[in-house]
Amino acid sequence: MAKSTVYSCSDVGFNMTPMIDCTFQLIIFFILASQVATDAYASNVKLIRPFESQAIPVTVVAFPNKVTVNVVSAAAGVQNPDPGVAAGAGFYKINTDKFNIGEWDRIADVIKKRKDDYDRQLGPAPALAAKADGKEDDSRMFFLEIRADERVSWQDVAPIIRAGVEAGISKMNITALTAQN
Amino acid sequence: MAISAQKPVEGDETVHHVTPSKKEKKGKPKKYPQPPMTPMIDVTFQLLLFFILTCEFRETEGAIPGTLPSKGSVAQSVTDTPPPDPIQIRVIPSANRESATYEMTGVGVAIQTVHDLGQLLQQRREQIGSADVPIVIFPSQEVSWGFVVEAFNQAKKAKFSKIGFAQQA
Repeated sequence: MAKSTVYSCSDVGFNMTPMIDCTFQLIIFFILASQVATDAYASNVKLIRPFESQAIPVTVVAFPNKVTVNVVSAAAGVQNPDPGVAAGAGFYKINTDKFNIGEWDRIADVIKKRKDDYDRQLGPAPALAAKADGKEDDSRMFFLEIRADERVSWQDVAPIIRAGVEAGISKMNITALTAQN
Repeated sequence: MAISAQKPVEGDETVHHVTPSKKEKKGKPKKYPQPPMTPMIDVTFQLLLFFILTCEFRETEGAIPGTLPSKGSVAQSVTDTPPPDPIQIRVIPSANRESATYEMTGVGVAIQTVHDLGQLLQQRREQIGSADVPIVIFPSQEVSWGFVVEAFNQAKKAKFSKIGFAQQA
């Protein structure tokens, strides 16, 4: 007659080692893959992915010398909104500063102040900076970055471009999604 | 001999003293001290839970570089300061704003897709043989920003170097 083995409670237990291994693998993945959100980018902007997008990934080309204007749709975060509502801008955002529609002068002032602060830090005549080959040195230029919702109408974005021109900014970046691989 | 004296001998009732260290050697194998794992696993799971709940996967954003006109020219209409034979692209929205058509200088019909616009710009670029011809995009007031960016993107793709926006007169 076969003798049955009887285990006491102290003998039975889970093998924790593989679970802890997997947990650490996941933690390392999340830590390495995560990016700290910057307040320059509003989270609820629906960006366009243009056909055969020419957008250069921002991780490759860094523009520390820029002011980013977020144009957030009035229908941001709404599921299946009316196109007419989505076409209107809800508000504008520069870092943590929010601006309502029509506050063009305030927006222009902020853009101009950022540009002036940058020029002051950089020293005289940053716009005349040139490389040895005669081309303009983009790394010393000040950029206006327009990060607008694709559904917002042109009439709500155009004043931002105008404010950039009024501030004496000569370079502009349009934020868009990069081409899908 | 001390060792042989401790061996049990039949009939010998003598109780010998055994030291505690010798008792351990005879019993279960010696257990080495281990650091407590429980708090570490607790913290690890807390971190894992935090990352899983707060993570938000984002698509890669990029920038399409462009230039702005110099100060002072913004208030003028394009016809006041005509660049040498600019290519004008008008962006016209549909009634429901969900699509747009494009009109380009020298093309008699409305261009329905950005793919066609890109091909026409590419052909024009090859005909002219220069990237210095200005491209002026005229968006309608009501057209969505996305369609404007599409036109800008196609002009960029066709390797034109001077691309700008103009307000409708």
